[in-house]
Amino acid sequence: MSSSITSRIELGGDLVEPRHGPIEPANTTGDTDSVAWLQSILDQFEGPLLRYAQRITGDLELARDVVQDTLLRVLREDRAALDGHLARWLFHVCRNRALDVQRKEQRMSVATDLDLKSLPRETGPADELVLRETSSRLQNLLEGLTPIQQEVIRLKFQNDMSYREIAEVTGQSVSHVGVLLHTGLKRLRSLMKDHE
Amino acid sequence: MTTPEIHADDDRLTDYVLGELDEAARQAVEAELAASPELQQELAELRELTSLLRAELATESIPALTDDQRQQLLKQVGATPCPVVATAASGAPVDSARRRRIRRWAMVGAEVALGGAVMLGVANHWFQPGREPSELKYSQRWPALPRLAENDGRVSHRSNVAGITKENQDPTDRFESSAESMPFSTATVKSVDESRLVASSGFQIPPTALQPGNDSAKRYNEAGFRPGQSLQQKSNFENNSNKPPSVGQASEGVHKSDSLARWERAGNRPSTDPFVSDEGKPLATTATHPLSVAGDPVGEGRGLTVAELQKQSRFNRNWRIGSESKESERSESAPGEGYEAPAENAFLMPSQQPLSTFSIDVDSASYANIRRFLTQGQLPPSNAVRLEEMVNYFTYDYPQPKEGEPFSVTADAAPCPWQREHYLARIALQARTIDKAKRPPTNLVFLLDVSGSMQAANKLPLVKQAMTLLAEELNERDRIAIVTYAGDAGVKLESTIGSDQTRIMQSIDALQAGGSTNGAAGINLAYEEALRHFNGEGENRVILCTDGDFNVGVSSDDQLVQLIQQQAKSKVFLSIFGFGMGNLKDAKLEKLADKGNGHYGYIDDLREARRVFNEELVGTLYTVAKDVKIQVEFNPLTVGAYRLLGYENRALAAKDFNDDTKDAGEIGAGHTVTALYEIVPKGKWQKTQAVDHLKYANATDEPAPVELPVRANIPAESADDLFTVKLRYKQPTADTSVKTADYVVDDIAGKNIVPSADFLWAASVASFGLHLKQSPHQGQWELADLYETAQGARGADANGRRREFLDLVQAAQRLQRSVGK
Repeated sequence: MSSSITSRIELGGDLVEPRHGPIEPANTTGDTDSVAWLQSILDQFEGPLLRYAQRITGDLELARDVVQDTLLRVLREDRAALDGHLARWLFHVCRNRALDVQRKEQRMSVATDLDLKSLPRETGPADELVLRETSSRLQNLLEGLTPIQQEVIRLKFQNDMSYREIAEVTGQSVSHVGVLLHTGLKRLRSLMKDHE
Repeated sequence: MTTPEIHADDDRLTDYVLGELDEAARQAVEAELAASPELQQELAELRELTSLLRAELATESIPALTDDQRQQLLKQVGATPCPVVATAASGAPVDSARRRRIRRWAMVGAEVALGGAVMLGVANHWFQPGREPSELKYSQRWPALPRLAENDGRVSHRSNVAGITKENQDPTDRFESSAESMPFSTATVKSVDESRLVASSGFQIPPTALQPGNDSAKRYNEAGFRPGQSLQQKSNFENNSNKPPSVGQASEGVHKSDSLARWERAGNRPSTDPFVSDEGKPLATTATHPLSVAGDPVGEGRGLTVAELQKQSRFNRNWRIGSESKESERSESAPGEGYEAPAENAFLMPSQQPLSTFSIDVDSASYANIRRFLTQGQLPPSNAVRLEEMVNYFTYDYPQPKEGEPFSVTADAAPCPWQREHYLARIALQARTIDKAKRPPTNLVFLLDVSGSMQAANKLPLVKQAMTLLAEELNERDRIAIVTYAGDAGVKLESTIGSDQTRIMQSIDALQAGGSTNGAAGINLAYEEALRHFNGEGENRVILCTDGDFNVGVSSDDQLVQLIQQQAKSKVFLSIFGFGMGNLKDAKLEKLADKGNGHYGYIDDLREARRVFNEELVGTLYTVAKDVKIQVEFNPLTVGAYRLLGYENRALAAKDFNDDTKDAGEIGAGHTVTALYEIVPKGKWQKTQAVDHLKYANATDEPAPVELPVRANIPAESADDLFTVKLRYKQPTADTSVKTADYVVDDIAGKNIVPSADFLWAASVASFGLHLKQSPHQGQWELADLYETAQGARGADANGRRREFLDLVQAAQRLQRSVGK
């Protein structure tokens, strides 16, 4: 199970566009090993983490701060200790930082990670929601789910994590992750049918 | 073992599509799929959706860091000679955040230490006079034991005991004198915990004193601690140092410095009691344990020690390697104190201690806590595992009580699944259910911790959700008030009639976290509010929701407990719900709930909140009986030894059963309570296991084990009883207790007993608890065995809890496998 989601994200290489050239190690006087490690982390996780943090904070600049913060932290960690669960660690720390920042900024009223008890009442019809400029119809419909449902769906289908990994990232129980995915997908299907 | 039919809206289908089912479940789903075109259609749609999602979500834009940020990261890994300066701008907030966290943890340690002190303070309620103990059915009581003060010859003391057989004395006097003559018992209670009360129930023979000094201290250590205790202490030791000490170190170092020292401070002189050691030794070495070497003599020289057993245990401590989460750091930061750490109950011999007395417990917080650990891929600390709270997390289908009785009692026995030669006995209570529509009116006061630490999404926001769930159930006969404490305590919603939903919901919505905690002021305000609208015909309850950071403004936990205790006399009940990561304050919150005539739950997500607040609302809030005590008398003719599974911190002295001043657990409408005993039948328990070889006397002089004489006149129909159960309880507002009828369970030797599904379910849950506890009593059952049995016993499982349990067992199996590699 812990066959490291690292490799999966690599496999889904289309997710990670090499939009920046490699970091020039020109002025590197430090540990070349660490530089290489940072490079590999950036290659694999920069985009996914930013996307994740942006979802939570609702703001790219905040997301950038969060991700930079997260990466600064990981660089202080014992690399060997993170072996095998680096991705979970990064997403989990990133999530907590993003929630902290988001709360401080009060961009939104408590966008909690709660599975609110009754979806129809808590979330308006999808067409009432602000649509993101480039997002597709399915992505719009996703907005009709609770924040936590959206989150686990993205972690599952965008980052290809297992229930267990999602549970560790989000602090939910494994079986509850299953429930969230199940109810989220169900809700999504019914929204799709409504909009056909 | 039938898998319930899968319907179209079954989450197992989702799990199947996402590849999250284990082999057996996968095959089950496939079998059902093959037979159902409807399911196949469902599956196809689901697959289509998931691939659509993958494709669509991959197109979402991928942002990048700024070049500046990337340069700063690069500097951090040493690309410049001065990384600290280079990252100062962005590094500062990180550092301050980290410092904050460290401070918080340091505080946490101090609070936990305080909590531990309180536990000791309240543990000893031992000498108060009680109602006369009831007559024993199977055994004769011991005659009075001579007082130490009147008896300076300790040896004659012993021979005195041996010489006494059938003198008749006033039972009250017996208790007093035995109590006074046994400073040892008191010391045991003080130095260890309440669980020892069960052993110190007034039937012990007096201590045989040794000269004080190193040797006697050592003897005390060897004698006074049951393996369960040593195990606990040892594992704490391990947690602390990350380096397992040798067995000798554990018993010398930990015991002496801690328990013995405390005991000596209490003015006691070391002594040893052969019968305490009797309980101790056989536990670790009993031949019934699969890991012990048959024929190996009792712990002498090469005998298996607890530590060795633990080492051999399938769940050894290696399992915990790699646990890097905060919980584990927290629980290790103050070993054995954040969680009260009761030893496991020992096997006791009815010939020496015929009565087993304990308070019921409907708490289930331990289960939610264990679930949290397991889903994070860690083994819970063994002292966080409370067997009774695991077993009682589930609902069982027990018969409804007769008209006019608050609960029904079921008692039965069957072969023990994990130890075939043993029996497993069950005592089950089913409280009367109350139709929600017919429930009595309620007068609720929510006391909410809105301190800064409650900001986290799984705390106050979750509390608000949970309150909304509950508030929706209220009607015009009910009242609800909201009191907060944080900095300044305040009434956020004055007691409001339950039908005024708008006002209630608005008040809930308006709640915000911020400020520090002043628990005491809040508690006073809450009780005031509850008393102001006290409803003599209904339920009056304060519901405290907190993450446990609770003692700013009160100078000590002692005062907090006192405060709660005082308030509890007002007949307003108290429920405490721990939210978020507050499992740390587990012991404290549970203790507060106990003292406040209350209930304690740990809520980790909305599903649990829904379960506790909504499903169990009726049960939690509507007490049908309070101070419910169970006393079991075992028949020495049929029972060699017995062991109560769990309830360690609910143990009562035998005489407390009839003492109405002694607090015990309450049972709410619809609640079920299950207690299990493992019983060693008479013929399977070898007495030689019970006594250590003597050091000073000749082996031939070994005293015969002192046993209570069996009654000469046991009626023929009682001779093959296993045990008799009786209960005492009070009506919710009464001050005097009522005793139930006796419930008798017959010996099952030679009978073909087929246990019910609920019986097997409870047994499976208990067995899982034994595994998690790394108990020396886990027997021959592997996780796979209990999984299989549990699966077969799952039943209708309307609320899905049993399925989740199976998931947890699998999680444990995976952890086990990963250690095996």
